Amino acid sequence: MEQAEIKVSPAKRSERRNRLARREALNGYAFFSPWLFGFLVFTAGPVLYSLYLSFTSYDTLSSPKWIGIMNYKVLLTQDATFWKSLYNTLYYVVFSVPLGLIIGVLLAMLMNQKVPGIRFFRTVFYLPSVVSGVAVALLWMWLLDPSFGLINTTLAKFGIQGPGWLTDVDWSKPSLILMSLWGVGGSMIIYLAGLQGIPRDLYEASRVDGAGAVRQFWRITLPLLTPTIFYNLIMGLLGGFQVFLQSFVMTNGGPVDSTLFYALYLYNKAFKSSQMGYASAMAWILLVLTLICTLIVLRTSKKWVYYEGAENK
Amino acid sequence: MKIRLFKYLIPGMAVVLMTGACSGNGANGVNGNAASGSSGPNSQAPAGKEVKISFWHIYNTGPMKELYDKLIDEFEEAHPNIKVDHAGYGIFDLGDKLATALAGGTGPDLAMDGIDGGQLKIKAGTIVNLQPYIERDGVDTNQYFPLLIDIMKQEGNGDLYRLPLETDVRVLFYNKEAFREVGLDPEKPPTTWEELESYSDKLTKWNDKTKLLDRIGFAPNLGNFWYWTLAWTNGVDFFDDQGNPTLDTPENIEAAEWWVKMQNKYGTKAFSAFQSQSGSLGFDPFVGGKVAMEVSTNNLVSEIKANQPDLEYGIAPIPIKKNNATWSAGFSLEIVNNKDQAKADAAWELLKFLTSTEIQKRHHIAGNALVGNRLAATDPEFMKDPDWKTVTDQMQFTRFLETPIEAQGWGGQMWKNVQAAVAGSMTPEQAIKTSQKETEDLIANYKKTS
Repeated sequence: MEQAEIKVSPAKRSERRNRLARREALNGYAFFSPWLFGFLVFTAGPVLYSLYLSFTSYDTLSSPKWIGIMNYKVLLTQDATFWKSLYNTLYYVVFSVPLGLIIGVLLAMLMNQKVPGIRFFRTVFYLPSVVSGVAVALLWMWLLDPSFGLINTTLAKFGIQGPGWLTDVDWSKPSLILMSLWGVGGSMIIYLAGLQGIPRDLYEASRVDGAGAVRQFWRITLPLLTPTIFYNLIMGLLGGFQVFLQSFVMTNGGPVDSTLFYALYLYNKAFKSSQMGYASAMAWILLVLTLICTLIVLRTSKKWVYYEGAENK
Repeated sequence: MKIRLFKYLIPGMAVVLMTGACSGNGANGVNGNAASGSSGPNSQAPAGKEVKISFWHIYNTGPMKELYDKLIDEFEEAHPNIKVDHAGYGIFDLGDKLATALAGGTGPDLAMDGIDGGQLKIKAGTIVNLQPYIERDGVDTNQYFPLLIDIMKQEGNGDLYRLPLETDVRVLFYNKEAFREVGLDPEKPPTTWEELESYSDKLTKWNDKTKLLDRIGFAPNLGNFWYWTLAWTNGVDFFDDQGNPTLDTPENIEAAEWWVKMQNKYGTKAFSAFQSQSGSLGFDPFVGGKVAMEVSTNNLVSEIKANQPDLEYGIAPIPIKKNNATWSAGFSLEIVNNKDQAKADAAWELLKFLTSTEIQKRHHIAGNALVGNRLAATDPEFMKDPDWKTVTDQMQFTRFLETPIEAQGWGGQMWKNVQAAVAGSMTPEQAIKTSQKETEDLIANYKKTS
């Protein structure tokens, strides 16, 4: 028996190895097939189907009717509300994403100090991101109440007459941006992890060389944090373009469409007016827009994202 | 291996897509009219084999839930071969849930649904034509409010596809005590816009110290008065017979101007302070005595009874400029075309039961609701209450907000523009002109994309 084992020819042996490898691979696929199935049925399928729907007229009850690029044409050339909702969304993204980044980094640096009770503060600042979105929205409706809200009554103590916030066309978007900053704790935690990944010895060495805190920040902290910033920027952009819940719960797009965000308009078209084809076309336009923005960030990232250990200038 | 995987992946994907497409069609496969899946009712009421049907409605709490639990039990007792699986989803959730279920072909057999939007479902064959059932069983459609019956018919041939369950109507509520306080006759509510304005000015009370409002006489943005209701009382028709929007009429502009003038008597600051303050009451400001006159639906009566039973109030028709008008909304019952004759037949039995005069009377008693069955709503017993008589009298003037399939959301846009005029970012005339333009665009865009 043993001899027979030894006498196996190299060709046979490799065949056996092949068989083993194949079996292993099959097992691998078997293990991930539940996910694959779920992905195909619940994600890829609906996504591609919505691409098809975007070229149809579909009221959800009758069968979809092919109308070519008409949905896209009307959206881009004749629908003023579409542009208004796109403007509102871009406004939100342009302010909330950078502000979220800056405040997130600053907060993470504060939370990275070695002071007693820091864990408590980290928890406090992280807490808002654990609360469900609708609860946060309701809470902020109270805070932002023009007459009796905490914010305006506090301002009044300093003799400042606060704005009407959500009821004021000019202040409704800034209100929602302000509110989004309250949930910055989620990205703060990621920055904090990034900060703690920066080797101590870099700071020690720079201190020996005479660098002050400000210089350390610009020359060490920020460059080494860029991969984290990059990640949060992409996630922030994706989230920002899809902003929906706040306006859905708090303002329903008002006053006078000032918080009618893209996703809310899409929802209204799909579920209030039963124009599912039209809404699908909107979804694909949003996808393309988000894709372009993400690609721009990815392209420029080579210039400003520094990966330690990578061959970089 | 990789290549082989992709070999499977692509056909796999195709299969997924096709199933997607099929389920899309499967729900709606039936085009054209009526119960083409179920070829009309059986010649007699179903008997023998047990049928299980599902029924979705809004009654998920309180006395209405109790009543519906009880009614279903009674129905099952009277129809031993029918089992009903019913569920109340609440007034705000049912619509979304039903829309998704109907699109996916997983709807209930009998559904309560909003009064609007029926034509789309009729056209798509989503709901069953009730006309053959009505004729077979000799159901007298005169027992329902005629206006409700009219909007439940198929455009064109007049077949009934739904039957009314409950509706509401807007009336003017006024506080008799406040009337007496300022020297107005509590038995003479205002009947015209002019009277409403002069009464309102008398009834409004400013706080000299805080410069805020202690009581508002009348503010159109409060209560349940929507702009179109006011416009109707000035003879406005928003669409002509061909379905073209006719919003930019002098009458409509006049109504918008009056709305803005009345609302702006209070100023944004004082009004929003008033709203936050009265919002903290937890019930309507009229119920709390903070507003002397308010347009609201008949359902406000229940709120008064529950929170301020001692409030001395009266109910009157909405003050008008040209003609009487008011606005109703409500719910109907419809049989979903699940292509199962036995289930459709059983659902009809339940529908007939729930809309019958006797059951609708109990419905009214439990929920104080204005039921769709006219004979039940105007039962002599209920009509002894003069307020209830005023409410039911409004059913001859009331209207439903037209929602042409091509212009869905037009009313919301007009409301938005009138509110922009209240905020001062456009004039009332611009608001109406903009609304006309937006409605035209809505229709044009819909036609191009359908």
